Amino acid sequence: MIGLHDELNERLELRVVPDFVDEFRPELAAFLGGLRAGHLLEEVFVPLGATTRTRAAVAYEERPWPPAGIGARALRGVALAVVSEDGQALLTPVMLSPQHATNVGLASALTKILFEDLSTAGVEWVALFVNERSKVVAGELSSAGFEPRQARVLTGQTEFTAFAAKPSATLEALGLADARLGDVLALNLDRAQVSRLTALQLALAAGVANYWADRTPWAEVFPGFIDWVALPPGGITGTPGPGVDPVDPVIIVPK
Amino acid sequence: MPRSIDILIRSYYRDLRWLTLALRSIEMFVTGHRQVVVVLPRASLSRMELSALHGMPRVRLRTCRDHRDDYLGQQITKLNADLHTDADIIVHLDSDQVFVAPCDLRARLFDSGRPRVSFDTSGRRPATDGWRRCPGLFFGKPVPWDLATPLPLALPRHIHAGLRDYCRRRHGMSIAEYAELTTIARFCELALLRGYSLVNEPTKYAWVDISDGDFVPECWTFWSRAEKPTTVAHRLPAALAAHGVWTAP
Repeated sequence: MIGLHDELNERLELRVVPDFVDEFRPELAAFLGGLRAGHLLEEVFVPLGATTRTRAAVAYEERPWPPAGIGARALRGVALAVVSEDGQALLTPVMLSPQHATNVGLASALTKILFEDLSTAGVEWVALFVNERSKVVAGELSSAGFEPRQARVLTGQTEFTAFAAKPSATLEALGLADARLGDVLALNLDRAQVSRLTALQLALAAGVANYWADRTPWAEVFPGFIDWVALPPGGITGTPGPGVDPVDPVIIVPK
Repeated sequence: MPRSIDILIRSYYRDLRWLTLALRSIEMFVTGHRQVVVVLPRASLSRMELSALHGMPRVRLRTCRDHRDDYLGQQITKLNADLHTDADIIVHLDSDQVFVAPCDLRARLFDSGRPRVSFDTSGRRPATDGWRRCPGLFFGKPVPWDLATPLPLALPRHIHAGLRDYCRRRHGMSIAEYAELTTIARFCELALLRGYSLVNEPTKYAWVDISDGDFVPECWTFWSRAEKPTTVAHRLPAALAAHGVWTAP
């Protein structure tokens, strides 16, 4: 049986790009508009791309003809990593266009190619900021091999703790390391593995949804929009630096 | 008559369902060839479930390098077709071309031993069109016909290497570099292959004006970028539908 997302996923072009905002700015504007998050383009993505090293896994559709020019590509999914100089990457949960919210195959495929790319580039740790009171996201990340670290994001009354893992170990834990990309997209995997991926991806997407809706205290995940370049050595509050813990700064977001 | 004829199809992950259908149709209806050589860019391998193809008789899989723009990439692969097969004659087909009736390639694509090569004088493609102008600009001489006609195209293997050598001599770069410097709207590999044959050895081919009809009516050309096998299934012979190719893999 052809799955709900199979035909779309077979058409999608998947790539990891270094200059995401430069290369996909108009497509990103349309994509974020569809998510009712158009403000993020100018408020977050453009300044982030200008000051920070990023790697982004993107999935896009091409129109039939012509295959180039304005309107030729439509983003359907993005997985973003902000990469530091010392082998760390902050992740934002995979963003999918609204009609593909349950496209776990696509979310998992973007995760796979991004983690493979980061690992090849020498990134030792990938991290997500998780609400300190989270059980759902924290539990799913722990099952995938992530562990809580010292790094914090403080925003209002809410504290988010970094959960970090080695990208290659996470791919192994999720059963994505040796899976063919086509099988991941089509979820041609064993049932238990599909359940694990579904729980993780849907938990992350739901966990960050309250952040996108400007309800940060209720968000279980804080997106990885932290500008590492601007971070003073040792972290804003003087917490010991990377020599002690590779994922350790404390970041205060005035919001 | 040539000793060996291979069909060459350059495909990629997005066309797997079309490719499966095309190969079934060749298996069912086409004779006169030795094998079908399917060339895939390496990055496509991880996206394609190829087990259905492995069981097909006389189908040989080859890989080629990845291109940032794979539309250009498939054109470049066709221009290097002789590097993927040692056949005397290479018949170019696309993944979205489906045979719907018996077709003996040796009868249909040759006339008194000469390959039949299509061109179009109808003016359907205007003289200002980039693909139509492509061979004139490339060879530096006017080409009055439209050579950017659809496949199939049967050519001797030496045409491919000859065209590549010519590009180096005349333009000082490889044909891949030339293609990449030209936009896809102004580069047509089929027009160049036909153009090289026309410019250098016109009498070795039987030139066929297709302005009034189909070149190979047994071979239907679809458009994979906008159509799917499922949407055209009702137009195809029941014998092909019996293979259930539209739901596989």
